[in-house]
Formats: sequence, structure tokens, C-alpha cells
Amino acid sequence: MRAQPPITRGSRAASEIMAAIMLTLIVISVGSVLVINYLSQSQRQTQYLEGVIDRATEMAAEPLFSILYTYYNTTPGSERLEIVIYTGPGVLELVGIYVNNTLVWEVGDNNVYLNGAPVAGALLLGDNTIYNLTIVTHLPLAPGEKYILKVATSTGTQATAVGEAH
Amino acid sequence: MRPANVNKAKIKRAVSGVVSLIMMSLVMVLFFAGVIYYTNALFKTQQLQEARTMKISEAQALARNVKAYWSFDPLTSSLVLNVTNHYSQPVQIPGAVIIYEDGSYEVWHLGHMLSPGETHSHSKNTGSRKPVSVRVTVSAGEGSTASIEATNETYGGTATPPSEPKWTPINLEGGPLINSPATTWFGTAIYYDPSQSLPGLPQDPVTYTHGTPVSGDAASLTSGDGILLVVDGTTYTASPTIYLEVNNTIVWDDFLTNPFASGRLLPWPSSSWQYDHSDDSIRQPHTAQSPVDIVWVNLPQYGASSSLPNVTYVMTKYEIDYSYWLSPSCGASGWGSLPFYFGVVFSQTTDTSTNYYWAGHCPYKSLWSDGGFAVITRKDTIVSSNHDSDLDFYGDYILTALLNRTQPNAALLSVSIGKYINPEVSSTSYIDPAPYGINYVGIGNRGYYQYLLTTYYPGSTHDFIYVVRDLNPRYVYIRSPTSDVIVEVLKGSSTINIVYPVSYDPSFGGFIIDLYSWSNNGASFKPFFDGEIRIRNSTNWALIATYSGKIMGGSVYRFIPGGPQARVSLTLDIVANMGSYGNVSGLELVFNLWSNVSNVDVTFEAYNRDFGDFQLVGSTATPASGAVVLPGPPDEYIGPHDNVTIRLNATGASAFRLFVDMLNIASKGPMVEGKVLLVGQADILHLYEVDTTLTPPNFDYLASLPAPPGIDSLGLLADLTVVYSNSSPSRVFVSQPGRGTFWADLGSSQWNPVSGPADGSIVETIDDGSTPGRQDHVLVINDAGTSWSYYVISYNGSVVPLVTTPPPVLDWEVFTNRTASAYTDWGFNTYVLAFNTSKSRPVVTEFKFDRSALSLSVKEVGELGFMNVVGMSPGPPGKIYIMQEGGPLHEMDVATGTVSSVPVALPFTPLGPGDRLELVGGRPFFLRAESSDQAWVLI
Repeated sequence: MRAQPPITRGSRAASEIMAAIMLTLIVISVGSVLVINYLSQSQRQTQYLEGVIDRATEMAAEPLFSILYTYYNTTPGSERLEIVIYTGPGVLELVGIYVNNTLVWEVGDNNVYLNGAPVAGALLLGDNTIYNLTIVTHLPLAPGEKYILKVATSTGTQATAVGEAH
Repeated sequence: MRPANVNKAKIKRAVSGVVSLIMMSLVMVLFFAGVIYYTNALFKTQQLQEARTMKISEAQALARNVKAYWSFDPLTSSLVLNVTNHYSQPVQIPGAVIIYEDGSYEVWHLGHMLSPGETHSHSKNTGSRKPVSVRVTVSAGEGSTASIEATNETYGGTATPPSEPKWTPINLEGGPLINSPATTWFGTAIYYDPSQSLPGLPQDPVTYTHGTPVSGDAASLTSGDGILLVVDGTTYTASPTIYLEVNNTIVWDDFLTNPFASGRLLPWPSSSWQYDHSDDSIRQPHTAQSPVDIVWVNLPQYGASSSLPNVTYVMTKYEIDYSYWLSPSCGASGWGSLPFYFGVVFSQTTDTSTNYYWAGHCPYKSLWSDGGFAVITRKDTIVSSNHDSDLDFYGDYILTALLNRTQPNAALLSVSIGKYINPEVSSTSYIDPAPYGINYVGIGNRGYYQYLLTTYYPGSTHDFIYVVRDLNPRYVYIRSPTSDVIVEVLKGSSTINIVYPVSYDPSFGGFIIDLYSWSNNGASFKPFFDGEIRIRNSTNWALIATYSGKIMGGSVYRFIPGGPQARVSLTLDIVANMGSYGNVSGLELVFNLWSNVSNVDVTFEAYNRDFGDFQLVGSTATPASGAVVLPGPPDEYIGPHDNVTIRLNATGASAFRLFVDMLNIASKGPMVEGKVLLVGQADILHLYEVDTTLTPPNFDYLASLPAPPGIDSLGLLADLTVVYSNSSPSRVFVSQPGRGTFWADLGSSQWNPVSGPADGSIVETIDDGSTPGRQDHVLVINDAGTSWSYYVISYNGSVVPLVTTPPPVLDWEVFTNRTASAYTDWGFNTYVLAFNTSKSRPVVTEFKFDRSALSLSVKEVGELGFMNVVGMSPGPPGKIYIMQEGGPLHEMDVATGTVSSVPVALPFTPLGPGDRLELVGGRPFFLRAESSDQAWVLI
């Protein structure tokens, strides 16, 4: 009786299984990387978009306001910047006030008075009201000199007006 | 039954397929979920932004539709505010802010609701404080708010009382510091923006035909920065020579081939023009009642630019076939209302539907034996005509037409008719004060009436048409430094026959040869032929130099006598800087050079691509600096790589070394119109662009331009002004006694002298306003010692021959070192400060100029109670401003001569000398000129 040839089928099957496992592992790992990357990116973009929506919502809700009048009192010892602001219904949060592009007040400064009362924290206006803002500050302005006042809100909105030192 | 392993494989594939589908579905779900999310987010953002925009729009509408008025009674201190709602919805008036004259304010809480159409009145006692402004807040709907400025009706007026005027300091941004003395001019001008006059880039290598380079290269020539190109002249013994220097030929055609077949001539409107090769002639048998038959010259077919130069001569030859002739009409009388004539046509288009000029000739058969007319027509109107009884009816005519457009508001058109025996027996000319734009030239024949049978031969035999720039083609020009030679111009070679008469013209600096006066054989006359120019020794008749080649009427040849000399000849390519404007409006050759021996002759040439040769563009002698404008359209010089090829020739009588600091091309951008301030100081002029729409007006420095040679005392002895023409560059005029008067296009450095004794220490615009868009004459006043001398100079720099001048005024003198003047366009008057020696005090004089009558008159307006003036400017209608040294500002009523001070304190001290007061945007403006760039404006 002739001897049987060696059986190779079993070894081929093992290779196929290994190949399949390897392929599966590669696909899973690459896929996982892609999915994780996609999800993280998606999360960042979602956060960004939510931020944009939030800001647009705030801007839409922010009341319109106008600077009715401003002047700078140069009297020695009483140097102060006077601003009259009218705001519509809603809440308006001021974050910065500039004269000739120089910051004269920002949130946290304690040199501002709202209708005569000192304000330590955020400067919140609104409710269809006219406000007097007084900022005690020394500015290099001579009587008769004009300046540009800029008021910035928490949403990035800015309003400007031209004032004159007295 | 299938084997089991087949089923397993199927199952595997099925599972794989399902898994794949699930995976793909997941991916797609994720993708679309993302898309939907982002879309929603963007949509929501947009909605919110729109809501904000709507709110702002509503607020603007609200501000427009709520009106508020206030009045104040100073006796009772009662402030009354009326607010009316014209808005479509109810509005709330939360309050107002009252601003008082001392700058303090008060918030006035109102809290009132107004229905549509309702008016509500509020009153308040201000406690003797006078309000100057009331600002009212309004609110409506969903958060629409606005503030409005209430109108003051206190005294029945409708305007808010202006705040007190104050002198406000401003700075002339970006410019140099201005020193006293200085003088200023402000107004609207059309100018070449110097900031767009961009220097080119000289390219290596510099090619030397003659001369030995010592140091430097092309980069040394870019600007006047002291980095030099140094060249030694090559010494040599020059042989006498004569050569063609300037070829002015644009078109020469003697019809040796069919000009219609090749498209060189374009018949219009009919195609009945004929070409006869047997005698090289063209003709148009004008046998019908067609009003016109023209052939247009197709310039590009002749290798010429498609545009005509500013000075264009057209010469043509023709004969009238009188065998077909019936009596024509040569004018409004005769056979009809339209004239009949032949001639040269200049036109805007290649038809006669729009504007055109005819420079024509009307032979007049009824005057059979004694001549014809030369006429010029503008559209269908004879505007100038001339009849000459010596013009024979028969034979060949030579017609020469000239269109000169070098002056912006005048086109000179002239025509002359030549017969071979008696040239130019008839001629006439016409100046069109409102010239057309002309793009095309042609020759034509016109008549209108049926049965009027004519034949127009532009030359019965050997016809030609000759288009030449700049110089009359009747003459050949030979520049020569000496007249002590004999010049022969021959047609053909030495074997021929014709020697033209020659004369030496010192004003031209050479010989001029008249090509007409050579023979009675008119049929063969041509201004363009092969020939010779021979220069002979005047004593022994020995031949010195010979030119053989084309002899071209209107072109310039140059004779150079021999002898020991040195020379430099260098050529370089300069890449013109086109800037952002692409097409340049002009090219300027700027230079600064000198030599170690004086008076080395220098010529500049530019390669003209239409001519295919170098063209002389300027000449000077060392030392020299300045600019010359390359004539004609810039396209003629700019090569395919934006390169302009320049040649410099320097010739000296002995060895020399040439130092070239700058040799460059400046590309000028388009002309711009705007308000400008010109400041003259010593020997320089500073130009600023002014924005008067801003408060205070804004001044941007543009450039500094050198004053003309010899002018070194602007603001003290010298003065400047600018004249305006709405179709051309404004021109700046400067003058200094003993140095001359010069003009230049505003923004250009090329100064041109005004010929004649027309210098003075006061230069001011003068005009009568009779020509809209033009205020373009200049008054120059010189103190002749015992009285004034007056000159009026036109835009083109020529002294106007005044028909009427004011009588000498012995007791007026130019106010030495304190000149001031102003031109007012509300009355078209010119006011000049003078010193009345009889009264021993300054006076203001008023000059009036009548353009049509060419008359000038002057009178004294009034006296000044102070001595030193540092500026004069127009004021409100009927008034002029005068700034006193040290202040204050005065206002003079020119009708009464009364002077009053402007009651505004000066926060500065105006110091003299100089004339530095202007009216800028309706406001007095004073330039301090105390080593600063500060000025003050009364706002």
C-alpha cells in the first residue's frame, strides 16, 4: 500500500484563520482610531457650534443701547468721565470702556459709579432705562479737546461716541 | 446535494455582507446625523443674526419716524419738548438728556407712551441753565430702541444751534515739517498722483557703444541716492557726419500697390473707389448724390499706432476732373445749403455720424480763372474760409491739413492748398474751443446734389497720402551747430536734377529745406523720396558729409561737424513699473547727472516701437537733473516685458568723466481728481490729498516735488498757484522776480518756462467763470519799482496779449515779503494785498479778467488797519478772510471794504512771512509752518 501524501489542508486552514483574525484586528483598530478621531472632532465642533449659537442667542437677546452723551471733566481733583447710556429691554453687560482706544474701565475695576452708586463687579444695565455712568479716571485731555469713547459689551458689540473735555 | 464547504462559504459571505451593511449604515447614519446637526446649528445662528438685524432696522425706522422739537424761554427758564409719533406702532418715550451750554447735563425721565400720530408736550424749568441740545430716547415693539436729537425751535429756527466755533489743531499726516516762510494753495485739481508715479527698474547689463565704465551698474541708476554710475568718455577725432535724427513719418503711401485690396485704405460708405496701377492713382467717380465718399487710413496696416498723435499733419495730392464738373456750391449761398469740397477728414469714428472736421478745398468753377476756397468745416458748418484769387482751377493740388491738439481745450485746425507754381496760395485756420476727440483720419470728397458730377482724384497721377507727426511735411529739417556750410538736398543720386532751396534758421538751430519750391513739375511732387543731403565747405565747396537714403518732409536730420571730441553712448533696458493700474498714462524719463568738465552735451533717446528706432526725447548739458516726458502714447515705448529702452549720448569737446546718479523711467498712473493742498517752501513743493468730508478735514501727504530751476524763495519772494481745467491735468504755476515763471502739470516734475518777461512775486488764479469747468488763467504781478506790472498767462503757458489793461497805479506796491492773494469763485475775482504808498497802509485790490474781451481791470476794495498779513483766502460769498500776523482772523466785505475780526480766540500765534490761509471745506485753515506739520481749522 502506498503511503498517503502529507495532509496540508489543516495548515492552510490555520493560515486563513490567522489572516482573517489579523485583518479583523487591523480593521477594528484602524476603524476605532477613525471613529474616536471623528467623535472627538465632532465633539469639538459641536462645542464650537454651541458656543456660536450661545453667543448669537446672547446677541439677539442683548438690548440695543445708545450713548446719549459723554464728556470728560478736567477740573483738577474731580477728573471723571461721564457717560449717559440708554438701553432697551433686556440685560446689557458692559465689559470695557475705552477713551481714544485706551482702556479706562474693565470688569473688576472699582472706579465706576452707576447712577451715583459704586459698582464693584459686572456692570449690568437694561430695562429700558437711562443710566448715568461715572468713571473716575485721569485722562490726558485738555479742555476743548475731543475724544472718542468706545463701550464694549459681553457679546462683543461696541458703540462709539465723540465727547469733549470740559 | 452541494458540498458542505460550499454552504459554509455562502454563510460566511452572507454574514460578511450583513456586517458590511451594518457598518456602512452606521457610517451613513453618523454622517447624516452630523450634517443635519450642523445644518440646524447654522440655520439657528442665521435666524438669531437676522433677528438682531431686524431689531436694528426697526430701531432705525423708529428713529426716523419720531420727531422731537424743543424750545427754551430764557426769561422763565422753561424748556418745552414736543414729541410726535409718526411710527406705525405705539412708542414709549422713557426720557431725554438735556445738555447745557456749560457741558453739564441732566437726565429727564418722561415715561410717556405715544400712540401713532399722537403728539405730547413736556415742559421743565431748567433753573436758568441754557440748554444747547436735547436727546430723546424712544422705544417700541420687541426691544427696538433709539435716541434722536430734538430740533431746537427756540427762536423760530429749525436747526440746532451750532456749538461755538473753535480752532482745532490737525496734522498734515505723513509729510515733512514745514518751515516758514511758506505759501499754500488749496482747491480741486486733476493731477497725476505722485504716489502712483512708480520708478522703473534699470536692468543690467548697461551696453556701452562708446565710453569706458569706471564703476557702478544699472542698479546705481534707480534713484538719486548718490550711488553713481561713472563712465569715462572715449576720445576720438570725429568725422563730419549727417544722419536721420527724428523720423516723424507715420504713414507714407504712394499707391504702388492697390491700397483697397490690402486694406490700407477703407472706403466709406460706398466701395466705388478705384485704383489705377498704370499711374498709381486712386479715384472716386462721385457721380451720384451721395453726400460723402471717404477713404479712411487704416493706421495699423501701416505699422503705426492706432491713435493719432497730438500734432498731426496730413498731406495729399489730387486733381479735379473738370470734364464732369458742374458749378458747385462752396458755401451757404449758391447751389444749396451744404458746401461741396474735397479734403482731409479727422473724425471720432470711421463714418461721419458723429463729430468730425473737414480741412478741405472747394474749387469754384464760376470763378473759373481766378481760384478757389480753402475751408474748414466742423460738422456741416463752415467755420473758417478763405478765397484766393491766385489759385488756378486746373492741375494738381497739394493739400496740407494740420490738427494740433497739444492744448487741452483748443484744437487748432488749419489747411493750406499748394499749386506747383505758387505754393500755399490759399490757407485758413480755425481754433475749436471745445474740441472733439479724434481717432481717425481719411481723405474724402463730398457734394450733395443730383446732377453734380464730379470726380475726385487725390492726384491724377502718382498720388500719395502722407501722415506726419509734429513738423510740417513741406519742409526737411537739418540741425546743425554751424551755418557756415553749404547744404544741398537732392532728389535721387548725383545724376539727378533737383536741388532744393535751403535756408538757415537760427531759432530752429539748423537748415530748413522747402520741398515745394523746386520745380514747376507739380505732377511728380512728393515729400518722401530717395535722395541725398550733401554738406559742403563754404569756401572751397569741398564735400564734407553725405547722407543717402530717404528724404522725408517733416523729419529731422542732424549734421555733426568733425574734430577732436569725447563721447559716451550707453543703452539700457528699464522695466517700467505698471503698479496696480496696469496701463500707464505717461512715461517720464528722470535723470540726475554731472561731469568733471562743464557743458557736456547730453541727449536722451527712447526706443519707439512704432518707428522701430530710437527717438530723441530730450537734450541738456551737464550738470543736469529733471525729467522729460516721453511724447506720445506710452504703448509706443513699452516692450513685451514692460521694458523701455533708453539711450544716453554725451558729447564733449575734450575728455570728460560722466557721473550718472539717476537715469530711470517713472510710470505715471491715471489722473485723479480731488481736493489737494500744495505747500511751497523755498525750493520745494509738498502735495497733500485732502478729504473735506471729514471733520476736521484729513490731509494725506502725497509727494514732494522740486521747484523749477532758479526758484528758491517760495513763500517769500516767489509764489505759486494752480489752475484748473476739467478735461486736463491742473497746472501749477510758480514765479520769482528775475528768475522767471514756470508751469508743470500738477504731480509732474517737468517744468516748462513761460516765455517773455512775465515773472513776479505774486501769482494767483484769475478768470471770469465764463467757461464752465475751466478756471485756467494766471495773474502775475511784479513790482516794477514805481508801479505794478501785470501779466495774464493762459493755461498753455503763453502770455495773453491783453487788449485792455488797467492804467498804471503809481501808489501801489507789492507788499515786500508780505504777499497775499486769493481767488474767489463766487465772484470770479482775484484779490491781492498791496501797499498804498500815498496812504502808507496796506490795501486790498480786486482784479477782474474778461476772457473774451482780453481785458484786465483793477480797483481798490478797502484798507487794512494792520500791517503784516500772513494769509488771504476766499470767505463766504462776498467776503474774504485775512489772517493778521499774530492774529486775529479778519473778514473783509468786498462790497463795502469793511473789515471785522472773527470773534474766535486763536489758540496759536500765526507768524509770517508767507501766505498760508485757505478755505478748506468751507472752513478757514491756517498752516503754521513753524518747523511742524501742524495746521489749525476753524470748526
